[in-house]
Amino acid sequence: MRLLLVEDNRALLKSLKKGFEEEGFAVDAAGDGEEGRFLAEANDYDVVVLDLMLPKVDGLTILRGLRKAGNPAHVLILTARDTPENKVRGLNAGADDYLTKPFGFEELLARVRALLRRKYRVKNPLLTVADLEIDTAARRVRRGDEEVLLRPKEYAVLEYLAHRAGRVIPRSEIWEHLYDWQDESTSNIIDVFISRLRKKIDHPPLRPLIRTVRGAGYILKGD
Amino acid sequence: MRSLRLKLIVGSLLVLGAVVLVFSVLFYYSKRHDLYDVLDGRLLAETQAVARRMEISQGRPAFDAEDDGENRPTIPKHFRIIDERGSILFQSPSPPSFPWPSDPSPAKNPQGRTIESGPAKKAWRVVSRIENLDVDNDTNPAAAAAVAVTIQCAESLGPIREEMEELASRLVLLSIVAFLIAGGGSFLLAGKALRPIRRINQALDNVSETRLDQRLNPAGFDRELHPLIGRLNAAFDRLERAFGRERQFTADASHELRTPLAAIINSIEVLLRRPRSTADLIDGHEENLRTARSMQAIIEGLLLLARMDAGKAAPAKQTIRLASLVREIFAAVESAAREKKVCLSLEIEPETIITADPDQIRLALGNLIENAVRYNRPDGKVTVGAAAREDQTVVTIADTGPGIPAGHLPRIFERFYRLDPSRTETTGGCGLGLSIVQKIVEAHGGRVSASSGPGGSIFTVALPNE
Repeated sequence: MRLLLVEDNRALLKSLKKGFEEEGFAVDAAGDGEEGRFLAEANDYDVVVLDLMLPKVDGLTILRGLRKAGNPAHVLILTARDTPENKVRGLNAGADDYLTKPFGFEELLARVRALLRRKYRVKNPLLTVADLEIDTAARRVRRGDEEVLLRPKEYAVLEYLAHRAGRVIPRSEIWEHLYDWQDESTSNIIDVFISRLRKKIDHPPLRPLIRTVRGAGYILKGD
Repeated sequence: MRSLRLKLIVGSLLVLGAVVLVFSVLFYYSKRHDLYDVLDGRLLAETQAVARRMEISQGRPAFDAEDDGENRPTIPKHFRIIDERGSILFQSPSPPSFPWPSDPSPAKNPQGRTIESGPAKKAWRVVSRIENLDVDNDTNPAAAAAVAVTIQCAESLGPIREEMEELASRLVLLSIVAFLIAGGGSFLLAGKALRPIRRINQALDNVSETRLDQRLNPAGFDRELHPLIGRLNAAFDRLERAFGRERQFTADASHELRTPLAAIINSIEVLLRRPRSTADLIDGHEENLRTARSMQAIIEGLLLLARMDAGKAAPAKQTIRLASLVREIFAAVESAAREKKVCLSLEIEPETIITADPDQIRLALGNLIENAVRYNRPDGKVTVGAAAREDQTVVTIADTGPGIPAGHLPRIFERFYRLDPSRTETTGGCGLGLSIVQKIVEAHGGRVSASSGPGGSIFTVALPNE
């Protein structure tokens, strides 16, 4: 899942990036409003974590601009402004959630995951495709009775496919949602993770769930 | 007497009382004067009547008391006639106990006198008149002479006294009624006059700390109250602005403290989520230490400003050599200046002295010089100069930085005001430096100002000479 952090406190930005990356997110970080707006407009983010008091362009202006342009990213405002009026103003400007500083990282993570479920129209944090179970909160995967251990990127690819189960996902789309803009790999790397995933969850004699649609992409399907 | 209403009532009653009293007394005495005039006139007429009945018989004056009814004047009830020697020639029969005035020769002008007598203090009015009677001397007409007699007529003052007593009691009664009416009226009027005060009070209840945008509308009040309402509204304007600044300051301060706090908490939480290498932990600790230090700078700045706001950090002034103080500051910022290749230049006469609190003024000038280095361009220059004037010493700190846009200049001394918030992260300022400078300089009775152009900014500190 791809995340944009816009936060002017360098130390906070750094630790947030680290925390989310360790949770398997592809994280882009912007230190001011201008950079944040540029990145938000240029890329397709699942969630944008946005500070309000920002240098150059303030958070609400960025948010209004994104909404006006029809940007579908879910936006969580993360700010020190804690008055009800500020919360109302932020949510009315098009934010999907609002969290005040100081906050707990676990809460922020849970709220970001909730926004992801909303984005992919899933209610249950437990994603199920046939006998494959993905616990998105605990990041645990089971195939049948067997627990499957996945590396973060492998998990991320599987989770993305599971969120959009039954649909053909182009390789480039998966790549865009799993890699930040500084990454120098290409979408071919997705093929590598798909083949590793197949070895772990689709190994014979199990019925394969991940299928290749030639020239279009991949699909995760139960039947 | 702290009640305005009571004051108004008592005041109006006092005025009314004085008016009623003066009016009553004047009315009483003028009425009495009129009644006495009428009485005196009647008594005078009586003396004339008596005089017309006087005759001379055998060279002596005599009174003809016969009442023959032929156009003769009626005989008064109480009168007497006294000759020149004071002996009574004739006296009317009643009253027997009437105390005729002992003075036998009354004033030339016939005038009434009041005589009081007896245990019951019965009062009488007496008019005396001197009448010259011609004595015809048939034998010797040349020796004809006049005999003077004094005719005194009297009448009881009882009826007049009764009438006056009646008048007095009526006046007292009327005064009491007037007082009661006036008292009630002034009670109501005072209430009416004080109603605007109650209304202003009610209106003020609507203006509270949380609703400072409310104002009194002068349209609903009397014209005399408009200046008061104008002033109240102006006071609320100032109060609202002050509260606004206070709220902004509190919001800024909480933002400035919460963000680094959030950074520290988040950093520790992320570090604790999984086992870390020593290098990772050291890296995290160093980052958190830097963040904590920036919080410390903000907190210390806030504490200093709060102490100075409360007047608890009055400058302990002494004479300081300005040049050596600036050299100390230069030494402290030298490494930062060298890093940025900024040249520090001192243009102060060695004998220039200022009178100031050394710690405070070092902090103030230090902040300005630090800023001049921090916001300079690489290979720039910071020049500190001083000019001793008659009553003040002016210190200037000039940099060769990009300058401050004119729109920002008036606000740069505000707490947490930043030209560009992005600079704080990279330069480490806490947003309070210039506020502290201003506070210190003003506590010394001086002034700090800034001017800026494309060639750089100049901060000017004017300190009064002691």
